[in-house]
Amino acid sequence: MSADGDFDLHAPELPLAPDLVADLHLETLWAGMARGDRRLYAMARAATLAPLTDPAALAYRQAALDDCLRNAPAVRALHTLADEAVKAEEKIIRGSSGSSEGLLNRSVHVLELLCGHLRELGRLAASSAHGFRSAAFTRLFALLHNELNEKYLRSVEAFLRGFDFEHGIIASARLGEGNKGVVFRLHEPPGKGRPIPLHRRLKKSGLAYTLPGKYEEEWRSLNAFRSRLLGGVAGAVSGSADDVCDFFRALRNELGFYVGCLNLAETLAQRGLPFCPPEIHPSGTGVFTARELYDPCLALRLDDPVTGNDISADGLGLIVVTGANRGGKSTFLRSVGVAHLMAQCGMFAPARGLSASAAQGVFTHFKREEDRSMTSGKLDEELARMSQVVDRLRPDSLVLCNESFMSTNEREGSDISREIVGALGELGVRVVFVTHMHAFAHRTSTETPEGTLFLTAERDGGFRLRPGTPSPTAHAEKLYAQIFGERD
Amino acid sequence: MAIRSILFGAGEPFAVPGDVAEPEYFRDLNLDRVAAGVAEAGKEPWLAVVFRLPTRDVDLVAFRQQVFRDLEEPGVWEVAERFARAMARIRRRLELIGRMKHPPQAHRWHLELLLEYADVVTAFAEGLQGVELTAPGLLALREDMAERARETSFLRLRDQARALHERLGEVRYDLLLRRDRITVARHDPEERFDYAEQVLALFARFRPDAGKRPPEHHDELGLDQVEAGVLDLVVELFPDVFRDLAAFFEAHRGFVPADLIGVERELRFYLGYLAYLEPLRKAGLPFCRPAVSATDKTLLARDAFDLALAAKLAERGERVVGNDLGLEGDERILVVSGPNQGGKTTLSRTFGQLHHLAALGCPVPGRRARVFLPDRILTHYERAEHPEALASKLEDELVRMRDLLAAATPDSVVILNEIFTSTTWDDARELSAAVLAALSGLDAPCLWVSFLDELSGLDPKAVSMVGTVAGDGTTRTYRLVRRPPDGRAHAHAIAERHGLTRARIIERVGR
Repeated sequence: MSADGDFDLHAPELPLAPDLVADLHLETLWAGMARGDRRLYAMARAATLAPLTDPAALAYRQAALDDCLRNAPAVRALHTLADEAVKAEEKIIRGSSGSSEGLLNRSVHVLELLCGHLRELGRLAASSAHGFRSAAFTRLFALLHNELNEKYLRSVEAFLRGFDFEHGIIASARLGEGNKGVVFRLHEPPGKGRPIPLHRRLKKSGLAYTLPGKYEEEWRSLNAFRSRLLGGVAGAVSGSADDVCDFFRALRNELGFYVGCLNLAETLAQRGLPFCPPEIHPSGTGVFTARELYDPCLALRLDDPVTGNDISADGLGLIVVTGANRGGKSTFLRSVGVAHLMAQCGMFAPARGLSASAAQGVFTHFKREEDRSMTSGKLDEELARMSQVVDRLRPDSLVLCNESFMSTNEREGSDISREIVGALGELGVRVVFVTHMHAFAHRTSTETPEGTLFLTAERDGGFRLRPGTPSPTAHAEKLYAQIFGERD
Repeated sequence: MAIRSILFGAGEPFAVPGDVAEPEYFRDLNLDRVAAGVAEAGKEPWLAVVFRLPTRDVDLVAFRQQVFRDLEEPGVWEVAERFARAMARIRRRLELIGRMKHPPQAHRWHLELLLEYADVVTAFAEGLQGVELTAPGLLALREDMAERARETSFLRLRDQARALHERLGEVRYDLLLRRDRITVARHDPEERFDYAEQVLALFARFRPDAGKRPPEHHDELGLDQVEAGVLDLVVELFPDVFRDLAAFFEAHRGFVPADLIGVERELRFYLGYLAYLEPLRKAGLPFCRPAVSATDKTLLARDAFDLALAAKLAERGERVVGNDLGLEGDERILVVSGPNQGGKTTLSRTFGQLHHLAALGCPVPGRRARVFLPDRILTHYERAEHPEALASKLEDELVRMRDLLAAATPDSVVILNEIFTSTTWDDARELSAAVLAALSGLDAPCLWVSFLDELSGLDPKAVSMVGTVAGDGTTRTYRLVRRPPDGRAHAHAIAERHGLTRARIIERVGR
């Protein structure tokens, strides 16, 4: 997934991720990618919540994804194999205590097993390598071909057979603190044939300690001693086993991300929805143009047709969306956020076409549905959340506000909104602001019309937004009437 | 020559006080918590005892203040801290060795510790040479340590130990373990003992940072039966070096001199107090060396605060509020009144602590201070949860007040906190007026927390301080001043409070 180093599943998430996940319905997206596999889900989550901003790094993933879309069966097979290798390793029980010997035996066993998987991986790679051209997959296949080839696997297997120590363990040691034996260095195990001179000398040495062997305690001590002798080698072997397993684990995780992309692509294609490789511009270029931009999460939840929006907001730092309730405002807001997150993790974008400058973090400030009380405590809560966002903002961040600051009266709410949106604009933070506050929208359109795109949702607009300055009512009355019947 | 004390003045012998009872006012002023905190920070229970010994000796206070000032320099602190920590480790380990049953082990530990000790002494002497010192106490210590590190007996002992250690380090042996038997022989330098490296090399291509060897970990240091058995074989394999080791142990059993242990302890008084202040300083709270006098009763403190409370609040990331205190000319009595929970009791503790801490020679909480060194501190705080009836509570209070006034001299410091609350206003007023007259006649510096705000008008020596509230009329500020308070709020103000004005947002993101 990146040119330097494995993908880190535990990399720090975007700040305020919990709000983002809830507001953008990201769990639906991940579920759509995972199709019930919790590891695919975790990978999808980790990748979307750690967006990239470097166009080169994104191009690297986009190229790999392009390979995957063209070689879906091979990629799924590689992923399955890596998954099997990791699961096989996990099935081998780990010793409970810190016994080096147990560790050694287990590690030798693991390595023997994983040699088989490496061999299989090499075969699979050799048979499908021709269809791939991205740097990511070329590198993987070259590694398998040049370094983990049959010759190497044979030498490993030969080495592993020497670990039974049938004729004893030979080591050298020094005296450490308290005259404890330390720095044990193992000699190659004495073999079956003619003993080496050192082995002979040790066998004949008159200085011998034989375990009295009356108490269990003594045997435990002897085992501990043996364990310390083997410690260095056991550590080396188990470290190596872990490394080999980590290789498979990293392979499984990274392929898992692409398998998730494949799953989603399949679903969207079946629904007849478009998706495209996005054009990502460097941060700060202020690019945002989309054709038929839609919210994939809504598409995954509903069977109804999904409406896309065409936006051209290049060089416009603020988008103000007003208009009818249930006219598609929130959905549009989500589609902007989700599209950025998808595009910036190297995925395709939910649109027929998308070019955007990379956002330095995506933030949401949505009205909290569960609490509609018009108290100053509520306003306090909203402001506190906005303050948390401000703490983490950088120029070129993307902030999505959904009916913010409506918990006070419209005049005060508009004042606060103008103040905040004005400051963010000055800082180069991009804002999409969905609001019913006519005073705010009106003042923005008269005071700073040039940097702003105004969109409006119409009651019968088929959820499609059109450019337009706000109308004074939000059609709530209509909606109310529709749902509850005519008010008397 | 013995090393001179850095706690009791140059030329003094080490006066290590035994047990000293805790002064009565410790609990009222929360000084018991400070003492415990300092002892804990200094990792030396004895510090709590020193903490109970204020002095009126202006020179001794200055002597300690100078040591504190030097130790507040990070370079000097580092030298002292490293020494104290190393000495503690040596003491602890020597104790463990005393309990060891297997001589080849105990002797080796003893040797290691002696070498460690020699390094510690040298490093401490050199460290003191390498830093700038002005405190007479530390200058004397520097001289004494330099001399100690030059003494022939010290150098000879160290060289012997080093030679012996080197010989043990050269011991190398090979062993064969097969079933229940371990045999030992002298090391064969011709053979290769690199099996682990072979393994790592084979799997290096799977490791991102190739070639790095996993660290070898030694778990416990004691030897079990098998290890001890092998060690006995090694002793037989190399008899000379182990014979010399045993002889060295016998000759130098108790090698740490008492005066060095004394230096460590005394340093810990300073280091412990400074460690206790450290988190508070980090939180931005000021401390200063007060000007002290045993005759001039002027009190002056800027931004003074309650040390025990500050330590508690610092743990929670909260900040304590500082207050100015002053008694000038003939002023003797600070009468503190104002809203409940406004910081009055805290101020009374601050006042008392200032006097005690200054008399220990310690830096005091505040930006600037001038403090009188009293002959004693007398406190009268309300005793909580008294089971008896009101009448007897008043009676009890009066008895305590009588005893207090009997014990007080013109050089004492008196602190009264909410007395006579259990009687009627008129009675309280009358009783208070009488006590005020007595205190005024006594001429001792005094702080009196009282709900009777008119008290300060009854005597020319009395000064009034009042608690204040913030602009909104409800938030307590914990600030007390010599005069009275105003307030309001709306949505914009709330936004401002969240730092969400245009200017603040630009400033916050721009950072």
